[in-house]
Amino acid sequence: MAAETKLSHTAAMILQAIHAGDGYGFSVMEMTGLPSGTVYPAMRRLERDELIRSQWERPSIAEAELRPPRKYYKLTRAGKATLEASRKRYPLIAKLIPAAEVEQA
Amino acid sequence: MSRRLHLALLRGAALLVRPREREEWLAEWRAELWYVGRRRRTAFCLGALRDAFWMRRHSLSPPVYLQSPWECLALLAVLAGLSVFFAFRLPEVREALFPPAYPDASHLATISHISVDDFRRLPGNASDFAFYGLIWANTPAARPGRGGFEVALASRNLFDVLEMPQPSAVDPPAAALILTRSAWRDYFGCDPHIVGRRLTIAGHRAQVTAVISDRVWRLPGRAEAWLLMDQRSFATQTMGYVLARIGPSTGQIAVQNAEGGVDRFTCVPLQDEPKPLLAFLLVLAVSIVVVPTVTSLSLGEYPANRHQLSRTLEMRRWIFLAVKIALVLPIVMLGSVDVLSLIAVNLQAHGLVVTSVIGFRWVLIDQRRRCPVCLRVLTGPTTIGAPSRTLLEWYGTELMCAKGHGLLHVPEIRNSYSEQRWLHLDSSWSSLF
Repeated sequence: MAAETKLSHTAAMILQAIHAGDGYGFSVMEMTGLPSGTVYPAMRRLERDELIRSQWERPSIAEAELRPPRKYYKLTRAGKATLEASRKRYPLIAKLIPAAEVEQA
Repeated sequence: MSRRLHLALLRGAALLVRPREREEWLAEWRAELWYVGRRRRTAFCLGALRDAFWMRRHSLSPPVYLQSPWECLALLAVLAGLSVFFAFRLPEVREALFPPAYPDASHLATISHISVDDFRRLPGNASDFAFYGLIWANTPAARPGRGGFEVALASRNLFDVLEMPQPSAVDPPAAALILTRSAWRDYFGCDPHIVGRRLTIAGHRAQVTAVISDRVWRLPGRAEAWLLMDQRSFATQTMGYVLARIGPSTGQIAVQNAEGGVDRFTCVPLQDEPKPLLAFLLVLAVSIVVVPTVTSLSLGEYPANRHQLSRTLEMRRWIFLAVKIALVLPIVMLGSVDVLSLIAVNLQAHGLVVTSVIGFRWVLIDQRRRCPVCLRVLTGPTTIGAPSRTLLEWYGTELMCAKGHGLLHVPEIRNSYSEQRWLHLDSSWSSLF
């Protein structure tokens, strides 16, 4: 996908949250404040457009932390370029997800 | 809601997802549900439903059998044929569509809340009046949990006044008992030898003479059985109804009472029989009003392309629409009654309205998503433009004719400068297809 891909504000915010946070669905919901019915379909769209890719974590890690395994999403190279372009178009995105939260996450 | 119910909701939503993606989709949502607090779980799971719809919408292509106009019409013709076939085969549907009418209903009227004593004093020919009163009677074969059933104690000439076939005669001391089909099923276990059986109903010896359809009875009061007996057997103070064969303009009947005065009884003419054709026309009118409000698509021509289409092609498109409507009519009108008669008794009218709106909306949408030249369903929906620039740039979906006749632009937001338009591709593009 070309770097000039234009995203909606919501999609850009989700992309930013995936990049900055843990990268699984619920963490994106928590960081963006968006409902599940918006976040998950948006992530499917981003994955379909090859801006992100998903991978299940190893069951042994989840087992050690006594929780179910997570499906992690990561930005692809095209996704990173698109996020960079989106930050220029929507400068408030970085502020909407506070830096402290990003660090904690 | 408990966690089990939320998991059930997720499993239900997963049914919308394609089988090969279902397991992973469900695994992800189940895993994510683990993090959600109890109060937010329901909203979270409703989001799963939306996600599942998204997955379904973006994974399914239009069914192949509907892409070609001929195959589409063939499928509709088969469905229409089946709807008509079952409408005439299923007794419940047949009776709902073509209700049995009383032969001379315009001369029939009922008088409510009248005693047997007053009934006996009614003026005129006694054979023109029949009395019936409703009672709750025990039956030897009452269904567990129910003490009995509703029986109309009626004079012997009740069905004569209605001009309906007279049940077979019984031995004089016994009263003739006529059962509805539902009473026969519920209280007598569909006994095939019920006719001729002797019973005691409300203290009267009775013999079952017939089992008739539930829909035959259109008079006031609900009855599951009729006990036809000599009117001398009625207690004088028994209250009930009188069925009268009188002139259409008779509004009241005067009866001389025991004190020498006159009592006047109001005659209520029998209501007109329901007219299925009228009901269908009414539903059609409602659909014509409702369909444009639930779909944003108009049936108008594609403005940008009008000069490109020949007269024949334009006519063919409209004929295709007309044939489709003609085939959808029996499907929504009869098919919905067929299906709903198997599910519930009194839902036909509601189902008729809903299915007709859905059906005609589909006709409209299907027509709009077909190529105006070859009438095949357009394929390859592609999102064009940027949603954030809706007001400045064109944003929407583009669909393509697989035969290379052109592109259909569908705007995300329709307005005066951005509306659905058809872009015709001339023969120079044919090498690409």
